[in-house]
Amino acid sequence: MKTGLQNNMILKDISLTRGLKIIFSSLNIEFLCPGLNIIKGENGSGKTSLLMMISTLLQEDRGTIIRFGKLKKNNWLNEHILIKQNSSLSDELTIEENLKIWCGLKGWNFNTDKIQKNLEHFGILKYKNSLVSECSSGIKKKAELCKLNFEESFKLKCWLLDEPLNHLDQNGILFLEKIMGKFINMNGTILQTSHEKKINHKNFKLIKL
Amino acid sequence: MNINFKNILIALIEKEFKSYIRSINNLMNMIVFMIAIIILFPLTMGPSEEKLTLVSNAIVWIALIISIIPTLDKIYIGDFKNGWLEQYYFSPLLLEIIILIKCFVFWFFLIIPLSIFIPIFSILLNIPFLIIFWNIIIFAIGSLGFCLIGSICSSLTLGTKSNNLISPLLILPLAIPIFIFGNGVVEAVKSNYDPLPNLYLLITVCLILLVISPLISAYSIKIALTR
Repeated sequence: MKTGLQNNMILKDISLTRGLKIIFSSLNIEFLCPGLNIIKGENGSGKTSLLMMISTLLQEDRGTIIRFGKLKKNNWLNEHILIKQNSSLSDELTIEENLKIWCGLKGWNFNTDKIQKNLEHFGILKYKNSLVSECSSGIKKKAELCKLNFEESFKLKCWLLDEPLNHLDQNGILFLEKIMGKFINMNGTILQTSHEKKINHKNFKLIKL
Repeated sequence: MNINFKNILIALIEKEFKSYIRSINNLMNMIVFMIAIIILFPLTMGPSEEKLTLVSNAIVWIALIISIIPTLDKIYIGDFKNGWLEQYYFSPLLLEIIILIKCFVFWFFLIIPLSIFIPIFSILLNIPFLIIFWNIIIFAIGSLGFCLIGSICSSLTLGTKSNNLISPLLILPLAIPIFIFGNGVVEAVKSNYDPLPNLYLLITVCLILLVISPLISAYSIKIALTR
């Protein structure tokens, strides 16, 4: 197992403003790598902004973010997955097409069997040919989380999950926890925002904003 | 991790193709709008053949351009709203190349079908055959330039609320060279001069846009995403 900065994710003296609102000032966090990091905080405390900033979708005003030993930006973009709270699936495509095209855009090798098996794990195989615009938010969320269950997803360094348990039913939550456990066992790092009181994982770091 | 760039290209083209096929009403809107303009012009001008011959070429061009402009500012807005632009940003392929492919697909599936209507309308407006031929060539080249300008404006207005208002104002001044050289070709043909110099200038404008448009669009998309 790699040690030192190569395997660390650290925020040093970060400040972030959006418009006139100051979201963070001098924020210092060292994340548990590999491991599960649960980010908690009130509404509007900047949990989503933190994840967006780590995934480079927001630019910090001051401070440094060490992403696994200063990975180059392009390498970092290919080394993590960001699952946002709102679904990022195209309404005009079916669920299966969405996943197929998403895998293609990542440059991964995939086939229809893999995608169908993945949908079956989440129990949404029967919706594979439904247009996303016709699906309920729970099914959309499950389809979105299917992105985590590809072989290549487990080889990545980090998953950023923004409220992944929203809209999920009991089976969905259990399966998500299972694949999260598998990812952590494969030396992965998960940053998850959550409002849930009960956390089923044994080792995790709680970060309060 | 092995990255298969062929897969990225196929996925990108498949996504765009399916989106356009499933929102075919965009294309139908453009065609209906164009037909309406071309029918209304002769009706409002009166039944004088001389007047019509004088302005017929301009009518076809105005109809084409006015029907294209409202769709140009929608190149990225759908993908921006449902989060696909972020997926493009996270893709291992350069955003500039993705944008270039997107523009080509937009041009091929939405604009080129429109050029099929040029001969039909031209016959209705009594335009000579030679000019119809040149019109098709100019439209095929000029419309690519138009899409590239549209890409710049569409990406610049991402995230603004009044992009319907701003886009035509941004597109029209940038498109003036295309109008001038396009019209220059037709005028040269009409008065028996060599149309090639104007055509070369038109191609030059499009080639310049081909280089600068993806760069500017990618830059403004990155700003819109990371704001």
